[in-house]
Amino acid sequence: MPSHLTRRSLTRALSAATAVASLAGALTACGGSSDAATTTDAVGTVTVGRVSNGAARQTRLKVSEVTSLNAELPAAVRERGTLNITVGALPDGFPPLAYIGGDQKTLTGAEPDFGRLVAAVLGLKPQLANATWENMFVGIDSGKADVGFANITDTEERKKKYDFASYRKDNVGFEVLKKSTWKFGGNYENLAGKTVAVDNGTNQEKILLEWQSKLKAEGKSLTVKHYASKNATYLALSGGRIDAYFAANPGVAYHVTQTATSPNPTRSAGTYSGAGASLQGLIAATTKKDSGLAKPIADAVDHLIEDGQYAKWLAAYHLSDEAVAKSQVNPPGLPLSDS
Amino acid sequence: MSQLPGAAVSLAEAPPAAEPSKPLDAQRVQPLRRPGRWIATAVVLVVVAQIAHGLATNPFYQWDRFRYWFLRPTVLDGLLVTLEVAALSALLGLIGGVLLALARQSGSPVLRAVSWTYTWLFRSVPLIVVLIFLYNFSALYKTLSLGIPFGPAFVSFDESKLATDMTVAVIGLGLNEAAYAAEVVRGGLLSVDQGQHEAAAALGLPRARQFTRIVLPQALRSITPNYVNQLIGLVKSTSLVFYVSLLDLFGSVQTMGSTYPGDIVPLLLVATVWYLILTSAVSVVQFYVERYFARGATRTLPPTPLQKARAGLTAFRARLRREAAV
Repeated sequence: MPSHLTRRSLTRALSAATAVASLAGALTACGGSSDAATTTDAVGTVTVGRVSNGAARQTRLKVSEVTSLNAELPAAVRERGTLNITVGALPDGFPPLAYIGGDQKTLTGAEPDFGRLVAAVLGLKPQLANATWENMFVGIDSGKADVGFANITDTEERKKKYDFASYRKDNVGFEVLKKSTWKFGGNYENLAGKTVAVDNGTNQEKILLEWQSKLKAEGKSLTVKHYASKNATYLALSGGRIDAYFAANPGVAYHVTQTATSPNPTRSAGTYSGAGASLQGLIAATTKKDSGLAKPIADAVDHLIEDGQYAKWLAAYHLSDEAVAKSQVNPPGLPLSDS
Repeated sequence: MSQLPGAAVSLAEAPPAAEPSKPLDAQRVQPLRRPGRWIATAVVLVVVAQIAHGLATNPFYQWDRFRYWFLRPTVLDGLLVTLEVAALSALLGLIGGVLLALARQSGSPVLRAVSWTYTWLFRSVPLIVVLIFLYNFSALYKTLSLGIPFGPAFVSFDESKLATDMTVAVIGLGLNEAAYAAEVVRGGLLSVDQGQHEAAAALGLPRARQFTRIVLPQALRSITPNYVNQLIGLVKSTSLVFYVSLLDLFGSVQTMGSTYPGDIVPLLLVATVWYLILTSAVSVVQFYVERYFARGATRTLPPTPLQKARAGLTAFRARLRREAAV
């Protein structure tokens, strides 16, 4: 090493730095980016429930393009020939709906699989991209993505910016430790004095806060807790810091089976409709308002329901009790003020 | 240990000068008794042993799953992303920081103002917000082009093709890092004695030469520890890159934790151990870099671990010989 910085050593250092940078750049090409590997299905078939880590039965479904539905698409999308699907499952997914599968690299789950089915009916190539929950919505706003399939509940609040095409019932449930004796029993009064965790920005949070204010009016207390991630919530549950976790029911079911052999097994303590007492909550494909995509997607869902692939897809994921009879465009959702 | 512990000579025990039995240097000095120190050491050892035992035997940690996850391809991919993002944004941040620090000290009021504003802005805005903004940049600017400012463009790029997730992450972290690095570098430059600047100027060296030969080498002494501090913070802030759909070490651990919810704790331990390894590696490099830049500032360089070990061994041998001679 030279004993002082000469011009030559500076140049050398700079060129070394450049070499390091370009080397790192070359590494990027083979690095592990979180690109969801699109599965290679032959034309006319879509395989659902791949690498699901026990959440689903892998099923091959026959799906072919319906030209009349393809004609309904906005011209820009039809010419592009791809459907950009965004899934908000980062950093931690929500199995069995959208998560990194048992091969520890592929994005799988009921939601991306359904997105692939819809794209096949519309005659488009599905392009799946995983993002965080917030970025999923911003991506739909900015046109980065055409549609979100990620267990998104249709709510009146979200309708101000988005068009919806419903495709599944939305049920939420309570998860407690196996050794707990508590049951929800469909009555919010049972929550008095409990500490319950819920995810930020979800509609079950809205429901829970509603119950909290009702209990408050009766002079009872319900503590609501938020955690940074699902993993943090489950740690709090197994550590006994919270009594229950209020979350989407399929996720609860998956978690209960997965933790059966762990040091702290859990169980379900009851379910509830995701849109409150007066209304059945609906999960819907989410598109930008007035993008003209919601109608063709709803028709594609109806086509899948009539042809029976819809029922097979739900059965593969053990979600048959969340089936809907028909897809609706912008159905009534969780009201702005659920009183 | 190069010194004998508790070597103290009390006057009361001094041998009568009339009959020197042995040469002075061969006489054995009684070490001072320190019962308090022994008791404290024993207590601390017991506590440490308890903690280690708890770590090893508590089923909550599931060490068998830790072993399974530690070298999984998905975790190593995440580690690679962490290293790449950290290395590239550290480089970008350092270059940007040096430029900003120089701009801050330049004679042009415009450069000074721009540098100050940049630092003020990026130290105020949370990194998460910067990342989300950059990631959704294509919503604001559809294309980037090279050409005459406000005039015709020669080349234009589709922004969404240009900005891969990795690029966005590196640029976001690099912009943020540059603001902090600018202050670290500026602090280093200020720590160089004014007399050095004056002496360099008196020698008639060109401004650039004054900076590269006289000022910067001395400034690097104080820049190094501060910048490494930044760097370690940067390695940990890479765990925010899931906001740009990139899965780093912590991101892949989080993802696997949701797919395998029974393994959340061992997965977190895997991330912890990897971060410990990364920080330790950075600290080792820091020691040698600091030692290099300390030349000319300290009379004797601090010994390297190897030199310390050698010296300790030599001292131990000498002591053994002395003990044997008694």
